[in-house]
Formats: sequence, C-alpha cells, structure tokens
Amino acid sequence: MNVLTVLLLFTAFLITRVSNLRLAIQILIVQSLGVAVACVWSGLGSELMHTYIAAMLTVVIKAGMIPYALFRVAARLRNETENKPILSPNQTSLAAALLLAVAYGLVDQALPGLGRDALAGALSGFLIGLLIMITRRQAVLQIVGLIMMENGIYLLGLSMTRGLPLIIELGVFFDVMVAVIVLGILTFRLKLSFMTTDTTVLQKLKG
Amino acid sequence: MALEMLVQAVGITLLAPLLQGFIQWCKARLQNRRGPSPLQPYRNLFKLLAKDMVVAGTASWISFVTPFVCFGAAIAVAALLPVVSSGWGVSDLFLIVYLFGLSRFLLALAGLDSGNSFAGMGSSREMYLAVLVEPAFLLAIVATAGAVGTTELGRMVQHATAHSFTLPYVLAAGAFFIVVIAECGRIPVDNPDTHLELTMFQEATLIEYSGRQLALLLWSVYVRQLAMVVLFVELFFPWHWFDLIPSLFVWGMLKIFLVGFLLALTETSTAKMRLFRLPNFLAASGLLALLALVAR
Repeated sequence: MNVLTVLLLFTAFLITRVSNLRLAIQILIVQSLGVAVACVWSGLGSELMHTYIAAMLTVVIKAGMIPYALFRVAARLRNETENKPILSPNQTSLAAALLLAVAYGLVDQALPGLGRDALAGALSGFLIGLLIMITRRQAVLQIVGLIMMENGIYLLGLSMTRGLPLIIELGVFFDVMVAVIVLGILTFRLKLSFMTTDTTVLQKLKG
Repeated sequence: MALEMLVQAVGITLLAPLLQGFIQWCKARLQNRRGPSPLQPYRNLFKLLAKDMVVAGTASWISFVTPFVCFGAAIAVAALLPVVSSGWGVSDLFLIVYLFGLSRFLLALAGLDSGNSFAGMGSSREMYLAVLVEPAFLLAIVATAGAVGTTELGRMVQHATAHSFTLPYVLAAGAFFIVVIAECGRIPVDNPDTHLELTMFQEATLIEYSGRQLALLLWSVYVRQLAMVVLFVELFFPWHWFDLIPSLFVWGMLKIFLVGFLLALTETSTAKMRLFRLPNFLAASGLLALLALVAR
C-alpha cells in the first residue's frame, strides 16, 4: 500500500512540473492504474466481488476512455503547451510539498488512528489536483487536475472504508466521465472560437 | 577508538586520489579513449607538492589559510565517517554537512580574495550551488534519519543495514545520488575536467592557486568526493548486507568503485546542464527525499 501511496504522490508531483499536454495525460494514466491496483489490493482482504468490478471500471474509464478522449483533444490542439502558468513549475512543486504537509497535519488533527500515510497521501493527491486546476491556464491540464482530484477522493474513500457500495461508485464514474466529455467538447469549442485553449481569454463576452 | 579513527582518516585520504583516477579512467574508456592511468592523480599531486607557489598580488591571509582549513576539514570528515567501527557516537550528520560547508565557504572567500575575475565568478556560482545543494543534502539524509530518531551516523548506518533496500531507502538513495553528483562537481552540475569559463564552479575558485597549495586543495576535493561516495555506500548499500566475499573490506572497496563507475557513466551519458536548470535538477532530489519521508 505504501508503494501505491508513493506512486500516487510521485505522479502528482510530476504533473506539477509538466507543461506538455500529452505527457501529462500519460502520467495520469499511470496514476489511474495505480489507483486500480490499490482497489484490487483492498479487495484481496475482504473478498467482496464489487471491489474488483470497481477496479476494472477504473482501468476502463480512467485509464482508457478518459485519456483516449483527452488524447483526441490534445491531438487536435497540436502544439499547445502550458506557456505561462500562474505559478512556475518550481513554485508549484513547492506549493504541492506544502499541501502534503497540510494534509499530514489535517489527518493527524482530524482523523487520528486510521492508516495515516495512505490517508494523508490520498488527501494531498486531492489537494494537488485542486492546485493544478487553479494554477494552470490550459483547459486540458485543468481537466487532468480534475481527474487527479477524483483519484484522490477515490483513494480517500478506499482508505477510510473498505470500498464504497458499487452503485455509488458507478454514479461517481459516470459523473466524472460525463464531466470530462463535456469539458472536452468545451475545450474544442474554445479552440475553434479563440484559436487557443488558454482559459484566461474567457474574460470578455463574445457576441 | 582514536587509533581506529586515525587509521581510517589516513586510509581514506590516501585512497581518495585513486577513486578520482578510476573515475577518469572509466570515463576515458567509455569515450573510446585510452585515458591516463588511474594512478595519474597521485603523480599530479606529487608533482604539485614539489613545485613552488606563485601567489596573487592581492591575496591576503585568507588565501594562505584556505588550503590548510579545507584539507583539515576533509580529513576530519574522513575520520568521522563510521567506516571501521560504527560505535563512537561523535559523527553527527550535521557536523559532516557543515564541515563540507566550511570548506566551501572558505573556498568561495579565497576565490574573491585572489582578485581574479574568473575566480570571483566561480565563487558566486559556488555559493549559488551551495544554496541548492545544502537543503537537498540535509533532506535526503533526514529522510532516513527520521526512521532512526537520531542524526548520529553510526546508529543511522546500523539502521540502514537492518532495513536496506526498503522503499524509503531506495527513494532516499535516488535523492542522495543526485546530491553526490552535485557535491562532487560531476557533469550534469559541473565539469571537473576543464577550466572553461562556461563550466566553472569549483575549478574556477582554485584558478589562482599553484604548487603546494593547489596540491592540498585538489587533494581535499578528492577526499571530499570519496567521503561522499563512502557515505552513499554506507547508508544505501551497507557494508554487511551481503557476505559474498569473506573479507568485508574488499567487498566495501568493490562497492565504492562501483559507485565511481556509476558516476563516470552518468558523466558520459548526460550533458552539462545550464546554470539556471540546476534548481530543477536538485528539486528532483528534494522530491525523492520528500517521498522517502512519506514512505517510511
């Protein structure tokens, strides 16, 4: 479990430094696969069938369909990269390290006794995803941040309970998938109307 | 205890130029050159020790004192490392880090003192590097010290021997290897073989030195390098981990030269980094150390 927490954090930190869209998506695939393995891992103990189904869904949706959609969008965007993020890669990494410390503090204060490292890792994965969403201008990277947040929440649930009921997980997956599809379409429209997917141009009304 | 320390200090000091020669020889071989013999650094040192000094006109007592202090600090580090025995309880991690810091500080001062503009540039860069390397160095080792609950190196090495190749140690090894590269002035960070102005850190601060003083300074650089490699081997590939060869000494030497080969390999396979890319490189070290802290 420790290995998976470290993998989650490592990928999260990598994404804070990446400006290439395709690379960010590839890292995201690795992270999602890690989450799926964590899901199987927790299922091994409890012998509940639905954790395996949830793991399979994670692989299919988060490591398959969503990255595929994002790759499609990224391929149409051609050479767009994150040029001027609001925080530079070094600053973002530093902020992410701070968030990690915050997550540890929060877990120690609010939820003592539970699996500390896994919980703090999941929480900081969530926070770093939020950080990416806030500090990146590229729409695709913001979507990547969203999926990272989702992965963090999923692991949080996994480390606190022994897996949520299947129907709730199905709902969450469906939510995320629809969100990503909508965001993908919006990103593409953004490209068509503004010639860029830099979200800071969305300040003026266009009639 | 005192005798053991003395033997160890003398041993490391005498072996240090061999490691430097070995790395250069490996590098030459990897680049399809024949290269100088691994004993070449000894010959250079002997030659320099026999030569007279030419002292810069502006040089003050700082320039005079620096070689002795650097050499002394290097020998002190060599004596303090827990190699022969890990029991004497005086080798604190912070002491080692700041003995390195002391010699770096004086070298930078001496560079400014010599009045040479290249040396001044070298000092400024050396300090810039120090700001980046020191936290990475401390973080990389503290990541492993956290599990032990002490910064005393002997105990840390014992703990490392018991827990070698667990996840925190593997991550911290990655972090520390980057620090070793930076601290030894090896290629992605600094080029130890040239006096070209674009690549100068440490070499530039030595540029006004000659003769015996240069010999002492170079020797202290070699000792520092060997000390870093020994520390790396002790913490992350501990001595008693594997009793393949009965004599632990031979096995230890083998590991030290293996790390030397690894340094030569990274040096031939990577290009020198731009100065302002260095924070990113050392941030990678910091990141690995942070993950090692989490993984514990």
